[in-house]
Amino acid sequence: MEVLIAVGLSAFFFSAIAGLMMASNKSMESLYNSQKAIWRAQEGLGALQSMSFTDLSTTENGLVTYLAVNEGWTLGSGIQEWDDGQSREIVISEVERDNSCQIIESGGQVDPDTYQLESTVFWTGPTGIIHNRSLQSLVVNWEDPQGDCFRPTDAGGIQLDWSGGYWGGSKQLRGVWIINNTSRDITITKMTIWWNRPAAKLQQIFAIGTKVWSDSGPGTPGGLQTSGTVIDTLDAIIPAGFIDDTHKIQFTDAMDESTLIISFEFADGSILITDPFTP
Amino acid sequence: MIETVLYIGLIMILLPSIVLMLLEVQKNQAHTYSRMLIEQTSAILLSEFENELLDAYSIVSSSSTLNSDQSILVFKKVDGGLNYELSFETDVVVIGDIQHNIGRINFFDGSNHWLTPEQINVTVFRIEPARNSDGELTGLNIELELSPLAILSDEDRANILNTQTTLYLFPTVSEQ
Repeated sequence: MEVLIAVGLSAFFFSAIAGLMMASNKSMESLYNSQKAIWRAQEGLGALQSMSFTDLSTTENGLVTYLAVNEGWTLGSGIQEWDDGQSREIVISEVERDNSCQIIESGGQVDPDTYQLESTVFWTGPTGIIHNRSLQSLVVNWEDPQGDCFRPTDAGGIQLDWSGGYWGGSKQLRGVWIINNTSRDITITKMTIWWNRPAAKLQQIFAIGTKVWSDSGPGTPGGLQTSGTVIDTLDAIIPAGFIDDTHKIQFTDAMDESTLIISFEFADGSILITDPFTP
Repeated sequence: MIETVLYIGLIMILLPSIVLMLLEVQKNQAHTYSRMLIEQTSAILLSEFENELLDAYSIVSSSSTLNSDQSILVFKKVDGGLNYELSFETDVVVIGDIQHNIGRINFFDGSNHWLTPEQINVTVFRIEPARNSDGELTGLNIELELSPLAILSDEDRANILNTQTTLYLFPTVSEQ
């Protein structure tokens, strides 16, 4: 009787140890699967993020492929499968935003400059349970935004270069360059000029080859103006990609050695101000 | 008297099985430790790569060794600053009086730091450029193979971890 109990206990003891060993092995296998899945899910996201925004499009079953000849990833359709039983699914979806450009689930405007990316790796565990690791991110068309949410302000798209400014005939400021770095037209609506020669008055402003203000019109206010007056000019359109070096700002007196600051206000209300400069 | 003989007989029958099982447990423990170390190391490496590249200002391709199983990535964190390096290096380690020539990953940030422990052999550390359609460097593919110090059995071979990923670079990161 005692012998039978001893044999029974031994069998119970050893089968428990064997069970623990098997569980431990499965657990270790699961560790590798999980770690590989995270690396592969990250690869899916990283591949999409490394591509040009214009090469992305919405998909429910995206497949990314690395082409060594181009040293780049391309997007296709299908499911990526590996020999170890893991597979990867990539989903690219549109993003909706409200009027404040906040992302919302539904009911907003589709943002043409953002995609939601999701990269999920699946595998079947030893017990038949399907596991997955999923990573999500957003990608933004920062390079050439088309919608309003990521569109730079007018002022942000304009570059001023006053380093070559000079006085023509002592009274006319010339050589101030205005550069439209965007792919859209930008309109100057107002200008303010400060200078440190109080006796001199502002008489005329030419912008983009056109007289946009003078003491006798067009623009307001009328009459010769003092430093710091906000000038409501005729709308002066700076065409997309345009570089203008034809500015002429005329004063009543000789301005040699004067220091100026010029402020431009654009149609969207944004403002661009030069540093103080002495032409 | 008869019970004693029976017990001795039983012990004689069970003892070899017990010894074999204990040996198996010991071997499993060693494999488990090796697997856990490799798994932890790969997780730490992924985190380290992500963190370092997050701060990158430029990738110095001209000084890097890309598209190689023993890659070296050189990058800067500020314009004109120090060259940081993530590199494959060979090292000689002595464990249990046995000398091993192994591959390791080193991080240089003014001084050298091993990112992989002595108990793991890095056999592949491959970095490839990932470019957008304009040819600009926008990401890095990283392939990694970690294995136990010595491959003696199929179980050791099963402990090899080969994995790869792609890390995205911020648009502000330039290539030199």
